[in-house]
Amino acid sequence: MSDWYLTALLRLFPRKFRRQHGEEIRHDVAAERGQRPTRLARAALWFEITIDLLRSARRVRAPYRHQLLTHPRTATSGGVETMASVLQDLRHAVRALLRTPVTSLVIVLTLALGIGMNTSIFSVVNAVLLRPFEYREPDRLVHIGANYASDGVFDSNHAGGIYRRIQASSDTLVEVAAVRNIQQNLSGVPTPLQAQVGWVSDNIFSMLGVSAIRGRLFSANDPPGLAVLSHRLWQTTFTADPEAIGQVVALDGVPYTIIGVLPAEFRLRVWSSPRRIDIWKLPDNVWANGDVWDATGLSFSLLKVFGRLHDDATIEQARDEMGAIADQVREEYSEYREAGFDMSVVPLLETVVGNVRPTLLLLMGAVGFVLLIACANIVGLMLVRAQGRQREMLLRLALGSPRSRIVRLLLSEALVLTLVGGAIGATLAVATTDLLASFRPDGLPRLDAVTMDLRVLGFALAATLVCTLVFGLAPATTIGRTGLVTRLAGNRSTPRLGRLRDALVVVQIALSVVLLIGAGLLTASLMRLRSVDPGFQTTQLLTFSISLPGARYEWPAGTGRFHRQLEERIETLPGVTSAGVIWPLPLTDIWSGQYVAGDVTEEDRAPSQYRLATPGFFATVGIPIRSGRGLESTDAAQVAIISRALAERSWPSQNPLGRHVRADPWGRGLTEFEVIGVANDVRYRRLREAPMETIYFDSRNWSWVDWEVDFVVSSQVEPLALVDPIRELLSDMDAEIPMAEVQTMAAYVDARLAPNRYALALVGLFASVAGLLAMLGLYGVVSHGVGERTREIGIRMALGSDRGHIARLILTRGARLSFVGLTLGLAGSLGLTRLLTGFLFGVAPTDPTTFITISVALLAVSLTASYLPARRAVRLDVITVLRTE
Amino acid sequence: MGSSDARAPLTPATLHILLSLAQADRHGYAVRQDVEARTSGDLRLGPGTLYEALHRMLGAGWVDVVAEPVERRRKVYRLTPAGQAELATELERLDAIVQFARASKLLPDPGSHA
Repeated sequence: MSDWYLTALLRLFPRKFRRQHGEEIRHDVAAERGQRPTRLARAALWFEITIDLLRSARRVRAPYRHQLLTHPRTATSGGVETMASVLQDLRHAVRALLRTPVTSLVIVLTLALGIGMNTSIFSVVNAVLLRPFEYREPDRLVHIGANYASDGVFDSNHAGGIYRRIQASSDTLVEVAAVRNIQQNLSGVPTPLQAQVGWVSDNIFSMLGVSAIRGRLFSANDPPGLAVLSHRLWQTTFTADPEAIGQVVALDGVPYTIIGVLPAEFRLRVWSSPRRIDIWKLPDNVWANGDVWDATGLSFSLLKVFGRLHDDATIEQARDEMGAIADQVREEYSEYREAGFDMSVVPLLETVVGNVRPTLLLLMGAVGFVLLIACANIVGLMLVRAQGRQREMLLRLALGSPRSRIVRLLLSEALVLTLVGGAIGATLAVATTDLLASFRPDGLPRLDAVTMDLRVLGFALAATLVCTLVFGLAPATTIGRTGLVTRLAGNRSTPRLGRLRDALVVVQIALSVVLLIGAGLLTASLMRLRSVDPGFQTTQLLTFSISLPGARYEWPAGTGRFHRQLEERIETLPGVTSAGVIWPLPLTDIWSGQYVAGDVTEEDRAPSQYRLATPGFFATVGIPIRSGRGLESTDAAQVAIISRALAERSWPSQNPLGRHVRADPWGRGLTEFEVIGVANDVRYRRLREAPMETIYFDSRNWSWVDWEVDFVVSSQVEPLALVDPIRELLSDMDAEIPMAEVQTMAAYVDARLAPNRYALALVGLFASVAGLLAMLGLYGVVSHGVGERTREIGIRMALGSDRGHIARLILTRGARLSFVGLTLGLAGSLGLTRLLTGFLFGVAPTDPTTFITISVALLAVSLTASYLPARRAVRLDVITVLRTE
Repeated sequence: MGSSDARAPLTPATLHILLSLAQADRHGYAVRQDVEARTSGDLRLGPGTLYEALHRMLGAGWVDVVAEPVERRRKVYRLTPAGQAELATELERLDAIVQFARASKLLPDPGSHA
């Protein structure tokens, strides 16, 4: 806002005026703006300035200039008269609208609904997709992704060594930063907690242009051992104490000195699903599993890398450069060569919001349909109003009122309606935006930034004005050009008007059919997704995670022992059937690697999911062992359990037991594992994806420190009732280890469906509103038809027509309209639902069941909508009708 | 275009700008602040209204520009004799109205409360 906007306003003035006073006006506006501290006050200022400049520009351009230093003498001089008559028109319009209060109210509410829903969705689209990041020069920030084509992994993380190499050798990037989000136990505070730790390179904050609100942030050459607090953690755990700076806290037992606090609004937006970081620290070597920041091994690909483009560099140049670096890396390390390593450079905003764009555009499209239907509905109502006032309009014409004046009157009425409707709609939008954001679906980034801004209000205003033109002009077209006198004298209804209204209803029904079918398909998909067998049990299970500090636990023996002990003690609790450990949890796609086994040779290594498990895991989550046996506590380190899919691919129709699978869980090259069992397939990556080949390793031999593992506990009682007893057990064993991410497995799985549910809930809502509006429209048309034909019906009845015949007459009309609308809608759906393919699961975009269900339901409802007026028609009293008409 | 009809009452904006410039030469923004202060915020001139009026007054020869902007310094406006005359005419007209109001006991005599 501001500069270009002011320039645009100044363009309204004659050039001479602009040359003389443009600079002064700019200067004054700038000075004035400096005195308005709040955003609201500045918005108000812009409003005042806009009005002021529009008015004076018109006066400067007006021909009667000299008048304006003094008061105008008469009311006839152009501009002032126009202003006055616009006001007069508006007053007139308000009065006319109040004469038909019910229609006016219905129109205003329909509009408020349409504009409100559109504005609300647009505010989300705006915040998520359109608004730039709140960092310094956000469009120069890029994400540098790692692709491992052989594993089917793209835009992923880099090993520390590769990050260092990019940082050292890139000319197209001024800065390259990296981050790893880990969980660590925070102690040295009143209540220890598992904190989300942002493990970051020292340049990250300066690169983004963030500064501390207390103390300072990291700078180059800072030694490790320093920490920066998120505003939230500072507010809660440290009760906003300014003395927190300089305090020493411990992360997994290692001391860190707090040097600063970040601003409340700061979020690191590099992940496609939002993560909340509590505390930030620099690269250090406290992670006993290996040095993440220097290792080059493929399995240390843990760092998210992003950078700032050099002022003179383009993103294509950066791509070329990264391509060259990737070539070198492939040259030097065989495992990178085998993994099909390459790098991608994508604008940061794109990596964060790219995968939600389709969902949001889908919603925007759906809600746009609702506005269209609302408009069609309102035009219908306006036509009815216009018809009722045709005599008034014709009389005005006959008395010499110019047609333009009548059009202006109609436009004014439309303007009053849309402004009121738009204002209510915008208010609704402000109220519902918080609601939309409060759903907080896991998959939607940047939702915390959803707010009203000028772009959103501008959108609402534009929608309002477009509606005004549509409503205002539609009735104006019905002022016929011919037959003034005959129409004044006689027949009230015009066939042309009736046809127009019919067409509008047909359009509404067609549009709503498209939406309803879309919603139907999404519902079917969600139901299919819910009923997918993930391969493990989801009920009566509790999950939580713990992380053991490397400072006090030795890995793998110490950690493995601790996990085993905790598992055993949990199993002694009343109500617990069994317990086990797994990492990562099902439906988290974060650990995959290649394998070589049987028919899968060295050349065509296949990707697979790696999982760490304890012996108790399989029974606890109900994954049957199909052949061989499960893990046992006496097993040697080099054994593995493989999934059925892997067994079938590697050793089709052979017994895999006792054979060897080669896998590389630790990035030290392929190692042999003896297959001791084959487990049923599990959908480890996503519910919507077929199970991927999986290898289970014995977690006892690998349990990391400073890294979370997930416990699953199968229970005969309500799973959450076990939380307190387990927490007691845990604090008994080690008081400094918090229990984190406590939830039931059912809730966890359900949360994976949140994005689907979110889209469905909204599309479903829009479809219902659309259907409702369309049915109201149909009801309105049919019922109006009955009103118009009252006399005809009366005569027919007087002549002996039976009531059934009358009812059929009216029902037929409604049925015909809805049938035509339905046909058009089905045709449109066949074309449009293809766009939904990416959102559907197990349902074709042309799924006949959905199409038929929606059609039948729509016809049934539309018959009801026509039945009500039909019933009124047959109950007419013949005598009364004929007497009054 | 020349001077306007001397008997036509001035708009409040015009009157206040003239009053402000009668006290001292000022640049536009200072005029705006002065008028706002004098009327206790009742009359706030938007930038469009202010420069539109000054533009007309320049055209009518009521005001002059004494300092052209050099390196973004602002233009300073000064009342011309013609402008002073317009202001005097208007003030006399207002004065006549006030005197009439006093004579008709519509306004208290300032002397009686002194």
